[in-house]
Amino acid sequence: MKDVRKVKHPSEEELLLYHYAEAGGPPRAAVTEHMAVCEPCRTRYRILQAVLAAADVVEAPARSEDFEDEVWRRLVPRLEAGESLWQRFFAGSGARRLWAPVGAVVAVAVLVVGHFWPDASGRADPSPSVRLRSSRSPPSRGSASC
Amino acid sequence: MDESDAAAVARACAGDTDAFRVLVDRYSRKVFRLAYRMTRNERDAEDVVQETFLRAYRRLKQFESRASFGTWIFRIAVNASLDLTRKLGRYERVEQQMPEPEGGARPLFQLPAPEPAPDRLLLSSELKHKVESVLASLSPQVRTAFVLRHYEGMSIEEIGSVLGLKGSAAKNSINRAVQKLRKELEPLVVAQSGKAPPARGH
Repeated sequence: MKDVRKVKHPSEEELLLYHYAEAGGPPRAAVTEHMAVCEPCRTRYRILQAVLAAADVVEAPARSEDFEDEVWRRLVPRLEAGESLWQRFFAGSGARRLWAPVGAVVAVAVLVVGHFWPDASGRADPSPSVRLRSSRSPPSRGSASC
Repeated sequence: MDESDAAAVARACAGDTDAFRVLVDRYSRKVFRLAYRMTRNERDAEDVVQETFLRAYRRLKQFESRASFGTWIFRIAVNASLDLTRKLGRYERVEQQMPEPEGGARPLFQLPAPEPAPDRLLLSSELKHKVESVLASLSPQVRTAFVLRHYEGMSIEEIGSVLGLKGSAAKNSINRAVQKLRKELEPLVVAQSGKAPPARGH
């Protein structure tokens, strides 16, 4: 029979994995058997348990019985505000669906205008080939967003 | 039979707000507890709850039904908490240390105590303050990993998913938190036998 006293003493991390019954450490049974005959490891584990038990004194404050109702009551206006904003553009009746292609056209227009928007020097953004011939790199400009 | 999270999400995505209400009812307290342990402020935690579910509602269509909704909502809650604490600069604060009691440090926690100590209420308050001080000194990632493991009972794998970390990184974060707690609390922990704890690495 294997002498558990000859089993390597579990490290602090292994004791932690053992405490939380997490995988990745030595077999649980092996650690249990080891601590049964190794007082120093047993004491280390008890201290770990005490430290973690001490952490339990930090509790979240209790909420009222109608906490969920209160959360929902505060949430609904914000959900509705969000819904209406997007629904105006992409959902709803046939008339409203026109907003989708209109929005797409606007987005493309913004991209095109942004591409040809003059930089700080007043010149339009040069084409890549022109930029290569220029010794001075064009100043950075804000990117167009849609 | 209670509706599953995935079914509720599917209905909510179809426009059924009552289905989203099911999810809010099911997770709002858990989110509050997590948010409170991260922000250490009740009002902030309640705001995080609101922000979490608002973000979740807006991103509902991104939720993959094969994933865990709980893990997903916790991920949103963690980010909302970090965003708020970063904005307020709260997590950088260190709790003011309570003055040492006269006569030097005394054990705050004994194991096991066969009978409650007469001044247990005071000891409990000191202990709570000490633990909160240590948790406040941890980095956001380390603190979050510990909170999710110890208080919320999430597995290391789930924690890695919430924080976007590999399992080993999540495990290391938890270990670092526990080691710091142990370093601060161990001198105050007195074994019932009165024996000093064995040296590390024996």
